[in-house]
Amino acid sequence: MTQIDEALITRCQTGDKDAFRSLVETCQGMVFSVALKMLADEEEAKDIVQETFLRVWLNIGKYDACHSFTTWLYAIASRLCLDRLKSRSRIIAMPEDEAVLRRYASADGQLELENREWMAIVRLMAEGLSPKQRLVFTLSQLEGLSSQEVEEATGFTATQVKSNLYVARQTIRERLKCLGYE
Amino acid sequence: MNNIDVILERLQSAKQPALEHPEELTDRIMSSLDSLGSEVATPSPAERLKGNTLLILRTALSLAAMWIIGFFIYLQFDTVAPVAQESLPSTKDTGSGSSTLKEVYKDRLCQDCKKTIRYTQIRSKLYENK
Repeated sequence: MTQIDEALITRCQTGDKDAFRSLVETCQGMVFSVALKMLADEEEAKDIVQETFLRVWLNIGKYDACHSFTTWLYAIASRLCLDRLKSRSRIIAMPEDEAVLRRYASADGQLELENREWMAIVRLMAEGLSPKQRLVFTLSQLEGLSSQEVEEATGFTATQVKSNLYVARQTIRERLKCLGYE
Repeated sequence: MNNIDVILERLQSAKQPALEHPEELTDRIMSSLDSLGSEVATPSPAERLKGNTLLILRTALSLAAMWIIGFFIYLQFDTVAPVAQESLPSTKDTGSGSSTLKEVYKDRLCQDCKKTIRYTQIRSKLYENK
């Protein structure tokens, strides 16, 4: 997880736009990554990044330094992604997405993934998931956040996080089994 | 560890999605911030007046709605409760074979009328006797 200098946040809280620019430069990649995995659409992910930082700017005075800034950022981005997912039609996998996953799974060593390949993989894996399951799966499995961080970012209880993650993993497992993975 | 777990683990450690032109997005965010700042900073007197009028109007409408709802609830209790207590006469009671509620009430009213007439008749007879 990206570490943010506390002094930078304090400067942002005083209305320093140069400090805020540095903050955006440091964190926009992280927000973009989550948004792209959630929405599987590059332009929508960019919109989410922009909207997230607008909200950060408007509410940075309310930010409590006791909590991690990145978790707070994840919380804002997650809420926006959830709203976007609820208001739009389901994400449906394309026929060519399977080939991308097959190539990734059969490659030796670590294969570099392009954005469109990331989108193909998440479209394929998370097709049948509800927005909440998708969010918990993305934060926990793809972003590598701890359970505590996922709870803070989503506002879900520990039980909700566990159950959503369990169902998401089971659904993905079933889906991949159907595609011939064991 | 099975193949599925391996895929998930590899995805976590893979190169994460990245912006092609991050500086463009940063500029976009900063410019939207500027426009947002100017919008927030200077609300014109006309806008302020409009906002206040809307607020007053909403409050007045809410109060009116609450009063109307309260009035209807009051009317409900005032009219329905006594009828419920009285227990409606059944079709059997009337003996006239009326089936609808309206007809039952009509019969009941007629009976009351008859009763009143009978009472006045008795009274007049009493006075006549005197």
